[in-house]
Amino acid sequence: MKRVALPFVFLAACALTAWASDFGLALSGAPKYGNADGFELTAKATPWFSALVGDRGSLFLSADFYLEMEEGEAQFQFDMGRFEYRLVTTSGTTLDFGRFSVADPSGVVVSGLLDGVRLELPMADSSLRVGAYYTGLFNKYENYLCMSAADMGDLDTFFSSSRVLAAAAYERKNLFGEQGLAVEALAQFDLRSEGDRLHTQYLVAGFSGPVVPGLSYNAYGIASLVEETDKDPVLTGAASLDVTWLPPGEAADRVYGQVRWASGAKSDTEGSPFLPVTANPQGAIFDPRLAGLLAVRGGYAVRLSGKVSLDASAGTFLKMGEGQPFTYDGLSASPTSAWLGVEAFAAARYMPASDLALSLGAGIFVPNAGGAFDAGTDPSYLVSAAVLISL
Amino acid sequence: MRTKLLTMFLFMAVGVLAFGQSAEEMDALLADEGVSFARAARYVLPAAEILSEDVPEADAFRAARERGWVPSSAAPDDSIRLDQFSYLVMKAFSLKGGVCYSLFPGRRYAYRELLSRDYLQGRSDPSQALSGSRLVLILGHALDEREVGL
Repeated sequence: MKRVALPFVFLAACALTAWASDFGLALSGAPKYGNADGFELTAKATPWFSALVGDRGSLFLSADFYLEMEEGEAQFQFDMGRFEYRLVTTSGTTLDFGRFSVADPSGVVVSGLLDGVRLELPMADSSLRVGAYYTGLFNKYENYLCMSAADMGDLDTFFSSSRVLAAAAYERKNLFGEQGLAVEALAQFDLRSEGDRLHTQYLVAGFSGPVVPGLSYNAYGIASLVEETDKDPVLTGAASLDVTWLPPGEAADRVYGQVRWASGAKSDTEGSPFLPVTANPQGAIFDPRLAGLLAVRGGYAVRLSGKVSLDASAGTFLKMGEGQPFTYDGLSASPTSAWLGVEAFAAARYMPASDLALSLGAGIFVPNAGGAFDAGTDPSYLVSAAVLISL
Repeated sequence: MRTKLLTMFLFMAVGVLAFGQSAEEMDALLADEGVSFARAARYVLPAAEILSEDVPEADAFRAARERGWVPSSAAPDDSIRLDQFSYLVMKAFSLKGGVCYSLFPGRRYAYRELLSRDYLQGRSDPSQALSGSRLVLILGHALDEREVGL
């Protein structure tokens, strides 16, 4: 707990110098029912505190207290939420320290909360950003920081595996016309003192911008080197494409398409799939990480009356390469097809007030039974709801 | 920076037209880094069409205090805080707040409501002093929403 206390003590000291502050509590309840896992309920309380520090600094602290009910059993979990000290200089240079949102331009390599420090230097039409992050202070069971089997090996350990991530990014707006360029280099180092270590490096590059009025895109390619103990380095790759179309008319709607690809291993014992730092799920029901996978999704979202929004999407998945880059119940040990199945999900969100949000979602995943999945594997369905109030 | 200056110019123009103020008075307001209760009431109440555009600051402050829209202990020349100004705007424009504002109407949830409506941009905190430029921006948002009928 000393590891957790040190940065918190530092930030609490910053809070003592604060001359203005606000605080609150966000409460949420999220029940869900699916044929795979039965009824589950997650109730969460997030107290938060924010303050301005001097003329240029700001501080935000939060914590997450969870009560999770699964298969009739209740479990209490705790983790520090976002806690961040930000300093903005007169030239616009920004320094962030603490636990805050980090994402590479594609969102494929890393996307989520990380602990660390980040410096961003704005220039005329571009910016330079460098950061260093650490993963070993997170609750292992409540985040997506799982890169290798060894990461989940010790079930009695509260904390995630110790990894350091260094990143340097350059972004340029209006490189030609309204097209923007983003390039980022990342290096992840496994700090475990025993057992197999996994180091990875990434180079992300891509473009974004409008195609024609109402149609825009983001397209990124990633080259990655995977280094495992006693194995030769393996070159892997990934790519992402997002396209958004705003149909003409008065409705606040959009049509979107998304493609995510990550290379797979050559065989069960040779090579490696692409491994992201954060194992963000690629589906709502079928939720593998982006490793040895091709996921294609299209959807439609609309906002009605300013308080109600609807979203419906469907997607399909293919396994790339060999081996088992992700786990899911029913996956065949000897698949006869790379096609994994299709998924459809729809959600509605209602915000009757600025501090109250209600949502309802339902979806189904139909596996390729007898192909990528064992014969007789049933479709999985899920119904979920959530309520959030901010006090 | 250019966008910010243009926005400020537009709001000044709105201020002169909508609030019926002279350019000199608007200049003085924009230069004010700690707007007083009286000055805030002098702009908010006419903008909300509660009082006439040429109401003196003292009369506007008295009207706001009689309605309970400013703290009873506040003096006209005291600097108004951002949360207190938020409450004044919510009341003057009869803005509908969230669940917490409905249950506990006060400056805390009034500030939160203006934050959620993006009236408050940049560094903000409930106990911050209110600058004249920020007053103009917030009133501009409130007038925009009233025009749209939100």
